[in-house]
Amino acid sequence: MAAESRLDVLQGTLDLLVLKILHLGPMHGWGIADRLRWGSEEVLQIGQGSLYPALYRLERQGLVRSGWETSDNNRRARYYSLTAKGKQRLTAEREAWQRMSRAVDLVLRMSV
Amino acid sequence: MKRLIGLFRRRATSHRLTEEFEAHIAMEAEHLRRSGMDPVEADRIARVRFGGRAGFRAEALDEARSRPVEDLAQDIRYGVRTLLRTPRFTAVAIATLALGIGSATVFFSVADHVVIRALPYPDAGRLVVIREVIEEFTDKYPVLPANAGHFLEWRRRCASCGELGAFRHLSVTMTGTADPEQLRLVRVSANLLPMLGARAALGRLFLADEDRTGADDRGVVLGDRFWRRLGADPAIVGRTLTLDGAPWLVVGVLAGDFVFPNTRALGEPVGSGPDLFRPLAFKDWETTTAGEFSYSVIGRLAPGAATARAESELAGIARELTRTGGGRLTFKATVSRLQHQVVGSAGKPLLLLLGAVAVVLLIVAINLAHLLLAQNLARGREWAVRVAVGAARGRLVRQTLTESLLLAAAGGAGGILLATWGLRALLRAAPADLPRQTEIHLDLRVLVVSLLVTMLVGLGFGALPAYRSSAVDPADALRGGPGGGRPGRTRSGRSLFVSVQSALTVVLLSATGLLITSFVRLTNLELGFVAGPVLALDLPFATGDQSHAQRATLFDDMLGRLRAIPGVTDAALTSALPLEGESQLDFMAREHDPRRLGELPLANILYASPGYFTTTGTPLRRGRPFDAADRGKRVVVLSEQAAATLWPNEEPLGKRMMPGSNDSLAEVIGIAADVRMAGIEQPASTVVYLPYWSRPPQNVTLVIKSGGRPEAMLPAVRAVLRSATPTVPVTRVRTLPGVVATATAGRRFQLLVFLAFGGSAIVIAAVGIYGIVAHSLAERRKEIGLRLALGASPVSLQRTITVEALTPVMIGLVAGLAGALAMGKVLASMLFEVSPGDPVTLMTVAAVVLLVGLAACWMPAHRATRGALLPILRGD
Repeated sequence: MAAESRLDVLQGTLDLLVLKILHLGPMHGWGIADRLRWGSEEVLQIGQGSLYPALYRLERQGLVRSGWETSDNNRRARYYSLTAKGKQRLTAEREAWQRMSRAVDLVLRMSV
Repeated sequence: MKRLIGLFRRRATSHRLTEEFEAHIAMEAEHLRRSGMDPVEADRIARVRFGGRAGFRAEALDEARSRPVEDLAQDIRYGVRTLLRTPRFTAVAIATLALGIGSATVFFSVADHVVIRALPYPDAGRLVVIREVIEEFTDKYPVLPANAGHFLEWRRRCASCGELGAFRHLSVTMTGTADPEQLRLVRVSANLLPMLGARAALGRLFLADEDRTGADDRGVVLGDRFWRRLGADPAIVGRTLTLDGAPWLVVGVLAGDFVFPNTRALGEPVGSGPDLFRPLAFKDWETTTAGEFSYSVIGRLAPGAATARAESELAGIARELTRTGGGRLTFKATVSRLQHQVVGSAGKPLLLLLGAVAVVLLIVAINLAHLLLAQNLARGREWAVRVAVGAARGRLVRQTLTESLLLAAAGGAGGILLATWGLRALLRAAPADLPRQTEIHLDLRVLVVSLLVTMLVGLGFGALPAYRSSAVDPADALRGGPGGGRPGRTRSGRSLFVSVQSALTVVLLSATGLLITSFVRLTNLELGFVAGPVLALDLPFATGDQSHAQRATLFDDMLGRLRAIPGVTDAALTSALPLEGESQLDFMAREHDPRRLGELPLANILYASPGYFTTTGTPLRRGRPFDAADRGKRVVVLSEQAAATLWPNEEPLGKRMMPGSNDSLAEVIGIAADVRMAGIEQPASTVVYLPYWSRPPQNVTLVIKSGGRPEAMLPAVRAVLRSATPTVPVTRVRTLPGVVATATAGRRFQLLVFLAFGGSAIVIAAVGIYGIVAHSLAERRKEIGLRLALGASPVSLQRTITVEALTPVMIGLVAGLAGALAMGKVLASMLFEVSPGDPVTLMTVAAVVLLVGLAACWMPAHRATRGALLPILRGD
């Protein structure tokens, strides 16, 4: 939880995106990175590895869980999936994000 | 161990990371190869795209670690920082909490030790006190101590009474030590001390054989305190003490934790407890005397027996005793719980007080909730931003609760400090008849309770603000709205709370004010003597030692030597001092008084030496005091009231009267100012002063006047007495100011309690009103800003707001005054020479509450109207 008070928008957004991707189904690290690549390349500009601290953080918070499985091309990979708590968080975060963008929108319109 | 597990877990995680990293890079490389890249190049690019593995590894390991302690520490750090940013709010919150928790702790520990806790005896719930009732005497003596013969009958025949023990208080004089000393001794039946759980620290307790009727009972057991006073000699068992001139063998010393049941209902006023014990060992004549009722009886009921059953069994025995006693007196016995007897009438007021403290604590909690709400409204913006960037709701709730718990912890610590100090002050002022007061102290049990209360209060006043803060709407806040989350409770509800609080404060302060006025009246009272630098001490002469003439000569000699002490300006003796109780009441009569004995007025007969009036500063209104030249003549000095009683319309000087029913006529030579014998709040007494040589009293009180501190004379006085009256103990050393202080002690205690209460109440109410007004103004910030923007002047707006906020205070004030007047009947019995509706007191209280209320409303109004415009113009 401590991390959240230090959360900058970027990190908060990354967590949200990871949760969003896992919402579609269990996925290993590279798979998540691959899907992130489409949506927002810039988030991972600093390197695909930056995904892992986020994954471990989410796991510690009990929002995702993980386990070793065999991938489609017979490779051993660690799969991440969303927990019930993670699903709740995703809904909450999505709402917060929508409010935030609405707020930013309002501020922008006010200053015009 | 924990660290070791942590280390293993860390290594496992690190291992997992390596594997995941490699898998990821392999998958990325494969992905690149599939799009036609050279395998070596694909591997290189995959690694570059992945980024610095060492850094991510460290970061991920860090994220994986669970850290509740760090989280808590961070919460606390953040909380402390937030609280320090608003030092005024924090100080006020902590101070009111400390007041609330402190007073709760003090009164809880008093009530707990006096009322709630079981007496410190094994199986205390089954201990009872058995007393006699003689139907013919019930109007004068509803209950009596037991008769020795009756006690023995009870013990022999009452099965449900279980074990019965008896005791009787005595005072003895110990000689053979440096100074003769008066000691408090208790004759106890051999089973009493073991029954109450007493153990011998040295030697033994009494044997059944020593307690037989007619036994030779020359053994004593010392109390711990007395043993320490004697020098805590570990080899004292086997030594002898000289008591009333006879040798007594020390057979044991009690362990230090034993408290002898000490209560007025059991024959003795509460004090420091008995010094020593000896076996009861009835004399034959004691068990056969029908008319003596002097023994306290404590019983431990048989298992499963109820008081009622013991009482009915005793009733059967009493009927028989009535019959054998010839039927002139009808005996009965009452059984009551020892706990009930010891606590006596102190129980109910203490529990009531505890209830009042709980209410005060509740008010404190509600007030703080409002203060915290006002505070959070001001912070609405900050919270909204934090929610917007992803801070979890739970986190904000936790933060608010952390802050309130921090405040509660600080307040609790302050409260406990305040309580240690307050309890000491309270006990120092406690009147002697507060039962079990030697047992009262702050102990673990009390501290645990006050810690729990602190936590509860902290959670209590934190819950509402926390709930509200969880509902901040970031968009709303960022747009410049109130940002306060859910709307507050309706304004009328808040006003009601202000009114109720003000009313309660007024009632409490009125009571306090009336008690202060009573106390002032009391201290300004015409005492009839001057409480100057006078030392007083008692000399209890043993009965029948000397003839009247011998004793008079002894007194003359003693007074002469006392007056010769450098620094002593005057010395005298008397048989009694004012304010210490009525003394030797007897009928008095004029010469040729036609009234019969029963119709004659009663008077306190005092035997005094010639210097008595000057030493105590008792002014003579007319005539003269007795002097040495009056020796052999029958002369008397009357108090003004005695003179007016005997001769309402005539000049008493030179007339003759009979002081006491068995006395001869004496000439009235002086009229002295009235004094109060029975107590400071009692009306003036009728006093007849006789020169001591006409009948030298047995118990003598010496009064010795000096220029400086009276206590400084004590060593020299003792030295004179050691040689003048070597076998007489010196007891009850005090000063005349001390006599007055003792007489007012009960009232001072009562006043202290009310002052502490009233003082806390006004502070708490001030904080409460401030918090509530600040809270509602914070909610109305926008409206105020708008009004200012539209051209309202800050001064007039502030006035409007202040008046608005003050209205519920005024309503409460009026209600409180009405309440105080209605309570007048209850209060009247506690007041002294002031009516419960005393306008000056009530007006003062009203003014104080009004001023405090005004300040509490004005301050937030001032802040709201001065600071409001700018942020509004900025678009905040």
